Amino acid sequence: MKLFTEIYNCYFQIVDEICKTAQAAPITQKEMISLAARFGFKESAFLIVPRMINNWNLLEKVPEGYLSKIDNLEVLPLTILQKRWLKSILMDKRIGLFLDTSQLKILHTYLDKTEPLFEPDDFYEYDRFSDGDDFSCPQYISHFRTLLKAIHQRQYVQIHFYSHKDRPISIVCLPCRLEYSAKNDKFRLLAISKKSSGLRQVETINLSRIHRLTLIEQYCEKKISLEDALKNTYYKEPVRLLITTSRNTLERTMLHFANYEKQTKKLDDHHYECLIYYNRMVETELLIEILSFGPTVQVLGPESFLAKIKERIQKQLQLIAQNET
Amino acid sequence: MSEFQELVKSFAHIRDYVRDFFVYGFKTREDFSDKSGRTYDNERRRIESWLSEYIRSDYTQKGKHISIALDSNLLLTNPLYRVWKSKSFTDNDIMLHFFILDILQDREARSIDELTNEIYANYDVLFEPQLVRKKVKEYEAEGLLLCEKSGKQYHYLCADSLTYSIPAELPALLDAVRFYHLAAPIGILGSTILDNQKTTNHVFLLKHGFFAHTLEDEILLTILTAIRQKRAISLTIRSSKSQQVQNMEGIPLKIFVSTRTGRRYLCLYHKRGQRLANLRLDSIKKLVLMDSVPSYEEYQHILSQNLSKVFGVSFGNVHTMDYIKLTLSIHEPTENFILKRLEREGRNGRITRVAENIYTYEAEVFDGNEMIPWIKTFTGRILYFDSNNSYLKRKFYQDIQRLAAMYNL
Repeated sequence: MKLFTEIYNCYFQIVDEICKTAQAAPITQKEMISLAARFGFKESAFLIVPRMINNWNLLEKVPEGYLSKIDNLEVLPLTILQKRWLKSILMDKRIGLFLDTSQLKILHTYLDKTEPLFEPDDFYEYDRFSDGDDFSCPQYISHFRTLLKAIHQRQYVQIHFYSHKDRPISIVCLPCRLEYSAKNDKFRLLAISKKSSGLRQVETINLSRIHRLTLIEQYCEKKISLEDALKNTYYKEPVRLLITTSRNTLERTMLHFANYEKQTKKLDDHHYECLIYYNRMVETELLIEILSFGPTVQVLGPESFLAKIKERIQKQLQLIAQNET
Repeated sequence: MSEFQELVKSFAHIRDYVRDFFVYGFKTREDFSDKSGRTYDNERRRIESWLSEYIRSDYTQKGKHISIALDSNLLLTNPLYRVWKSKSFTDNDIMLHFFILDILQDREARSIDELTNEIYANYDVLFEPQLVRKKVKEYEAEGLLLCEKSGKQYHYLCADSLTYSIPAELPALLDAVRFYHLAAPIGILGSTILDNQKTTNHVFLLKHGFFAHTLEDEILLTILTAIRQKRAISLTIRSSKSQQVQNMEGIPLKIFVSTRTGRRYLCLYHKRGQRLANLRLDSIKKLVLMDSVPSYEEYQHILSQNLSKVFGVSFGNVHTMDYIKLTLSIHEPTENFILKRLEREGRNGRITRVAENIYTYEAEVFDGNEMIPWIKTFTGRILYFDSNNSYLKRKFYQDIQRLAAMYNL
């Protein structure tokens, strides 16, 4: 059982798509190129299409294009490795959000003879926050599934929840994504609401803070890109860091900030400049992450971010000075 | 000059290039000096082809450097999974894949000779039966085909698909796969299941996701096999600091994962050193499974006994424990969120309210140095930092002074 095998290769996916398209009606070369561009890499079309036509005997030339010789193949079975992975996810504490007891029973029967690839105890997330969501809470599960349904159906919901300051809030919004944080061990809903001014706004709501949720008979017809809306919340000016190489800081920062979009430039053998793109929602988190590196990482800008860093250090200096006197 | 190929034979070969482009992104052609310039050009072109929309090129005095720029918070899948979908194959591989699976869709079992004849009859391609047998055996091992013995002959049939086996449960299962392909270990397998079902994820996003982890999945798979089979391993590691290569043997016990720093470690019992150790997964270059360990549970027990004293991944080098005491200014009730932070992030530490608006946090750990970055996140609130380890105490206060000097405060 190998992970790196041609069975999972995207060329096989492209060929499968081409064959399926060419089962009912002839496919043209242009259509093949378009499928290769959609499912493959940048240069896949140049490498696949000539071979489909000349080498692989999977197509038959007809006046209107090409017909597939592969006309029975439907869905491929799963490999043992894929089944073992499925068996492992059935053991995860969050699986009850997706599957009820009877569904889980059927899946366990289906995977009866399959060994799990890993078990939850094989992993130890030593710095995960200890106040994660309760994934076994019936109300939480119910809200999760309602939101999942709303996202699939592009249906609006009315949500009653408590803010971070425990104020009760009620909004009507279009659920777009469920965001999971591995660090917080929490799900958050990312939704779009419409303000009275007509402007769309991205709403972020912790699932554990929702106390009532109802689907409403309103559907979204338009295509709305939440990712674009989120991107718009990013500050134009990234945080600019000066990273020194002492204490292995370069390596540590590059890994630490790998979950942000970043851009790094070598200045000299001991100094690097790194730009990190961020938004208001992660500003405080990013700030304390940078502070955790101490004097081996210096914030150069933007001014507002630099001022916040300086304010914390100034406060710290004052506390030390007070204690000395 | 031979034609450019997007596909590669070996994952290990490309792994370091992708990692360098993604995690670092500042290296120029000259920085990849351990390989020829031609090799660099080929690998760069492949990576540009696989991840074209995420490639960023910049120019400095030292030359052009390529980086993979992606914001994991905004992506519905891990683009680095594409690297796993680039295994090279031969013309026979792809033809036999489609011919055999197409023929066997009728759920009838066939012998190798029958398959060979049908391939010729249906697709007009004549293969040697040995070639067909080799592919069939390979697919049987992968689980795509099943084997039945009838008399003296073996017959092969196609295994059932998910669509056929669990049609009613499939939609809910696919939602789970959409989530776990981002959040679970070896999520690439979830991505291939979504490919198999011709669907994608449009529901889940991952915050604090470290996409580069997938580059270690082949290594992780072998470690997990060793853990499941309770076997020892032999491994070759290369230190990221010194670049020194070292061989060692040990008993793999757990994978330590940092949800904050993007690092994953193999926790093993190092038999020769008679101690527990953690090794960065990305430093492991080669791994070989060895004999099974009869007393495996004993080593797991040693680990579980030590776990509460490890703040991060270090089991310490000296026998004394580091005692850490942090006194913090937390204004009640407006700054209770800081108290909550201490509770949820402080692992096995004790929190005490010593006076109005003043709290202490105390812990004994193997290696107090690991706590320092976390402690520094409370900069601006620390009244005292105390430790039995004078080095840590000195370092903490010196760092504050260095920060002040750095920002001219």
